[in-house]
This record gives sequence, C-alpha cells and structure tokens, in this order.
Amino acid sequence: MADEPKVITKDSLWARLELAATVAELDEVRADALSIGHAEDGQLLTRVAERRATLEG
Amino acid sequence: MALNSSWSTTARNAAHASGLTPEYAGAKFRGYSGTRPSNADTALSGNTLLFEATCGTPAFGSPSAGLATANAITQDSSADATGTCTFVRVFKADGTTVLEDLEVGTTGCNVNLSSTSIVSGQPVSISSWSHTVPQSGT
Repeated sequence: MADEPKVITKDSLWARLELAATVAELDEVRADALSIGHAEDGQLLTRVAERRATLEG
Repeated sequence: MALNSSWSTTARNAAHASGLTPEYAGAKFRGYSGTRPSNADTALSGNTLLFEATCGTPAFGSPSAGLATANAITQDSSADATGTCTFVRVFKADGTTVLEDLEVGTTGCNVNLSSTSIVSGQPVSISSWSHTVPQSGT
C-alpha cells in the first residue's frame, strides 16, 4: 500500500509540535519546518527548542 | 513557421474552472524573504518563511474572460518571523507541492501588501488576488 502523501503546513507543524512526546518526534517537526523555510529564530522553531529543552529535562 | 496560439475565452475559463481551481483548493500562500528562485520548479535556497495564509475551497470564483478572483484567503494571525517579503510561493493544500511563484510589492504586483515588512507575531492578510489565463501562448 502506498504511503500517504506528506502534509507540511503551519497548522500541522504546530499540532505535531504540541503533541510530540519524544525528542525524535520534535526533531522530525524541526526537519520538516526547515524544509519549508522556517527560521531558526522564528516562532515555531523557538517553540520546538523550548519543548526539546523540557523533554531533555 | 512559428508557435503562435490564441485561446478563446471559453477555453480560458474552462482552464480555470476545470484545471486550476481544483488544484488551488485550500492552497498555502507563503511569503518568503531572500532572493526569489528563478522559477517555480526551482527549490528554495536561503529563503526564510515569514507567513502562511490559506486559500478558500474553492479557491476562486467563476472565471470571466480568463480571469478568476480568489475567494476569501484566511489570514496568518501571527507571522512566524520578521523580514522583508520578496515573493510568495503558492503550494497545494499539502504544503509541499509548488503551484507558482508571485511577485510581491505594495502596488502593481501580483500580491500587494500594505507593507512588505513583515513582523513576527503580527497578522498578515491578503485582501485580494486574481489569476489570469492568458489569451496568447506558444
């Protein structure tokens, strides 16, 4: 069975970010965000970094 | 010998209604800073995403004389980054398939913004956008 087409939108990235329970999931969100041009210091990736720091304790 | 075709209004309107409008349903309208790629098939390179607005479904109203006007575009309530918007790249609703690139300015461009200076956290709205299938081609 073919894979579902990947969807990368602002809403989907924010949803995945808030639901991420592992660093690996956050890293996937980060990679997808960078692929569409999100800035390292933009709102989304700043939030990813915050969540990553929380998960890493 | 030359390539010189001319489309009828009927064909131009049909191209919009049957070809383009379905492709643009829920399309993502992304504003970027940096140098615009040479064409829409060229990957982004060093461009920063500033905002993302969303086209309606359907994206356009009924075409007339080859021109279709976009239905309401949902604004980005909070721009992701600060920068000068130099072009818009339109993606299908999946956010990954490129449809076209558009020139951005404050007047006389494909996309006219009140200001091309985008500020992180501020809303960005597209008040109107129209799309034309040209009469002449090759």
